[in-house]
Amino acid sequence: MKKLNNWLENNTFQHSQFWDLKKLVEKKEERNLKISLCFPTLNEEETIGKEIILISSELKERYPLIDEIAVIDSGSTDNTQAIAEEYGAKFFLASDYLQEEGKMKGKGENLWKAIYLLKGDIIVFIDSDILNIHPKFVYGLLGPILYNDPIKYVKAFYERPINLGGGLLGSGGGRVTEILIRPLFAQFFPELAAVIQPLSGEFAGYREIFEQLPFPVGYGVETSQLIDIYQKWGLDAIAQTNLDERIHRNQSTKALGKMSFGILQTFWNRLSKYKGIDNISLENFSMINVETDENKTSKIITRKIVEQERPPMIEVEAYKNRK
Amino acid sequence: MKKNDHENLIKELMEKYRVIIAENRELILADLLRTSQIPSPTFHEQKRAQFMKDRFIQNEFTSPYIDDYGNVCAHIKGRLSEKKILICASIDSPFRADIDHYVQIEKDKASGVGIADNATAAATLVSLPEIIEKCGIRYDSDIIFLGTTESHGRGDMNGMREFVRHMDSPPDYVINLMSTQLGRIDHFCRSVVRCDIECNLEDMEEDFWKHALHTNANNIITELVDHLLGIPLPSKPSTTLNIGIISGGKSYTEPSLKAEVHIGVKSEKNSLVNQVIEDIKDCCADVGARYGIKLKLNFFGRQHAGGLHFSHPMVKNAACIVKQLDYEPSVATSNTQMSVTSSKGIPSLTLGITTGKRIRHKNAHVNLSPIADGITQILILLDLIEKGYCDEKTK
Repeated sequence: MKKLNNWLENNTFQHSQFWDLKKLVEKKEERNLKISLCFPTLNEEETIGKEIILISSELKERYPLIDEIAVIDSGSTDNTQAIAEEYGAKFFLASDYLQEEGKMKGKGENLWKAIYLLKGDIIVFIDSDILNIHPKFVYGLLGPILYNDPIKYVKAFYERPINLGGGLLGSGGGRVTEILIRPLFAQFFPELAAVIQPLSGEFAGYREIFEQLPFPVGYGVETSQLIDIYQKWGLDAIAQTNLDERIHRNQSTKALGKMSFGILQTFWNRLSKYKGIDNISLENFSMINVETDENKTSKIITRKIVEQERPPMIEVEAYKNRK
Repeated sequence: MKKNDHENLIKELMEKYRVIIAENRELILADLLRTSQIPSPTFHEQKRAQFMKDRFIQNEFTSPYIDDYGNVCAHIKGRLSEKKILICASIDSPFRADIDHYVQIEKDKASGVGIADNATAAATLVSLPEIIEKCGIRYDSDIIFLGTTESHGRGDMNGMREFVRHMDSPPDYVINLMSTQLGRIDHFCRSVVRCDIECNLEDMEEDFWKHALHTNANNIITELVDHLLGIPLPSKPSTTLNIGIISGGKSYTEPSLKAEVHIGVKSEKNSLVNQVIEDIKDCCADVGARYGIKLKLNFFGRQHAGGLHFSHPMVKNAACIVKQLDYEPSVATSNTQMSVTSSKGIPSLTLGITTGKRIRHKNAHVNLSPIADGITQILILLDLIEKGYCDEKTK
């Protein structure tokens, strides 16, 4: 517990510690690093424009902290591509690249392909549904890495009021974290219980870390990353930054249920890999719900949840050739 | 200067500024987003003012400050300080802070609460110093950038009034920015007064009710409105009396004990507004006497008529710039905070920054591409003021 408290004290940061962007840019240049920013998207026309504008104006034009901004998309049918391109981001349709690796679709797939498509030594990933986007979301994640050699990967945490359309509701975010992830971490990976928002979609890390990680293509990507990095590089390689508040659209309980099944499957995988708990079969991992139709008849509905994983990018032939 | 030379100068400046502004589009849009997303209801503008001050600091102004009235101010010291040019925009909004202020950016449109009233103009004020620097412009005149508070309703343009009252010397020229509509050139402010009239029967003695069984406040206010509508108003000079808000009562069955009417009076002539003020007082005394009550009157928001003639070189130059930018100049009268300086005889104009729709609604939007032209017109007008083309003596 002492180790955990030490980690919490030494590896937890506040975005405001890194407000001096001139110094941060100097640090980046001193270390001769290139930094890429990736927004994974699927139908995010409402928010992607302002995310690109705010980050690019402050952290690319005014203070050249970011060298490359890219949107990696899962096949949006709205105006995400047009808006992203209008405001100067590179746009990649994930399915157009590494086709020889087979078809998969999901947020994790976009993150995995970002490692192949982007050029930075450090890659920052920011979810594209943030209503209160601010440059601190990026520099708050980069600060701990640029100023501290041992830190290889930084994750965001924040308050999560949710937006129900007309106004903000003070609580309600992070339900899957509190109900599913925290109990599982506490039981099986207690060292990771000090990570305040293990599922946050905002994180940054060195390419050399990301390229060695397998990537679940769906909901389990954030969970697997934390566990894999912890197992391979130890807790001191991980840090977290307080970004104050992240406002996003609310997700239905049903959607969170589906997400939980995906995460649970990834978690089971890691238990088997690292803890030798392999007496649970993932063969028939299914989501079982009771659903009521319009005639008020209840039925058991079973949906098979397949959380596929991509291998570490460093093992992919096209990536090796690219390097 | 010949007309053609004049037009050529505007054209030349326009081409130069348009390119630099286009190169900095993201910076301008980022300021627009960040300014708009900070709620700034009248009397509660501190957060937006602080953001603007921080941005002015970022532009390496030596001494941006927030004054005692909440106004945010920054200066560019001119090489000669021959003239003092005030560029201002109100930074308060008529929308409550608890309304969702997040802005959505589409391909050429930004929508959100208050974006057209007056966040786009406030954001332009924030971006201007950086754009001026990027354009490599050095002014001989002192340029003052002012974000004013308390411009709406009961705020009564207090921020602007107090700032101007406390200036060491008045500005030589004033350019007041409004978010919409690009092309507007407001050169004259009408004489204005606002008045709230309240009928309150809540504290009447028992005796009153014995003699006035069927009286209720709504009936009294309705009768008063009837009288007010009978006040003679000349059509030349144009004078109007607007019954803006009538409110009162609580339920279908109870007599109303309290009712109010809010009135706005406008005229091109100060003396006519003064006359209407006296007429309103007379109506209230008359109706009050009939019911044995005293109606409470509160006059506020008095602005005096003043401004530039259409033939003033500042107006003509502004119109010429708008035309060259391919917009239709709309030279009109208005009641913006420019009245504070125009009523003192200081050459003042109100200009629009972009086009937009539903400007005072929650789902307002502004168009993004015209913003570059909106900023270009300000820079050209500043150049022309600097070079003396807007001085009356050069006519």
